[in-house]
Amino acid sequence: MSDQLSYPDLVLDPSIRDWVLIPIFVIMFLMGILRNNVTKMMRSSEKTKRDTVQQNNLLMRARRLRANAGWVPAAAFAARKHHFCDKEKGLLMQKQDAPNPMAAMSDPNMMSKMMQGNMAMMVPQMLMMVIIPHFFSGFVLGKIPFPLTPSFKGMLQRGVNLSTLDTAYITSMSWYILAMFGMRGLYSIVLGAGSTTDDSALMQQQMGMAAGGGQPGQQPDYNKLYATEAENLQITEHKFHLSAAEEKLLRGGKADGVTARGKAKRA
Amino acid sequence: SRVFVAILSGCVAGVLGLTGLSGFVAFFATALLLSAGLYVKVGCQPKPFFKTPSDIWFDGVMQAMLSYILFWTLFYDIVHIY
Repeated sequence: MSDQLSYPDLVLDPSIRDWVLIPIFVIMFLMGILRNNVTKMMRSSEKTKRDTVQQNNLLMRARRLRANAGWVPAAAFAARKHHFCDKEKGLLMQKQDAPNPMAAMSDPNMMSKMMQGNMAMMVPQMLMMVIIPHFFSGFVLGKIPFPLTPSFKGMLQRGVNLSTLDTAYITSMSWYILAMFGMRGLYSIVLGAGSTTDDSALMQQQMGMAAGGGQPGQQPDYNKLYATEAENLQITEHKFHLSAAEEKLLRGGKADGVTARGKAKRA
Repeated sequence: SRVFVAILSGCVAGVLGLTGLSGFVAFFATALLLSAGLYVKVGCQPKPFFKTPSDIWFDGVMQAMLSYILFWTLFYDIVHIY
């Protein structure tokens, strides 16, 4: 209340509302939708190679066998293990082409794809950052309905240097920023959850990639992965869950092999 | 749904001309109302619908709040400032 006493309300021209406040809002919204569609279009052209899918599926199979070893009898497990880890014919022992670490980088296709992905994000952002202060600077365009400390002044009132102006009055740049953050929720409604406009998720993803060490487009070395998986499979201790089923049942307790299987199925 | 409710309540708060703390109180009140509604809807058993039980109360509140602030500001400006 006190700041309303010390600062009388400003009277703003209604045409500011019609030609600045609402247009920025609409532009932001349409820009987000456009960006979403462009990203989608670019992504759909991406293709996975057949070999890669094959190799990944083989690894997944071995991993699943290891996780569920208890549900097949000992002989069956041994046969599967042989199928994967046999010295000459085991699938995990076959030589794979070692990927060239530079191949991904020198592949122009890959590079341009990465660039496109980033561009679709960055260009509209930068464009708006330039356009908005250029067209709509030098006046107050609205007021946020809650008080803030004066330290926000520099951020909210860029382009208007009035030391006595209430901090709650904002200029176009801060309205843009406010809209940028607030729009994200709106997109999730309009475009469906998990849309690509979620900048922060994308940012995190990129960070994760950087932290993981692998370049996004780089192929993993399947020889190494296979060797590890084969080793894991070799040291897996096989214990058949159903071998003691009858005794457990006769003992009157729930046969926990059966319930465990039920659980596994449900999960 | 949380964002949707936040946007609606933001519009209402803006039109009513809530300012300062009362606006945030309105946001949390509507968010709480939504959570309570959801809680009753799932029959007080959030287990199969949410990853953790507390998600029903807290999931996506920050996101919703940003949208709330945006729409609150928009309608407050349109209705009361000009």
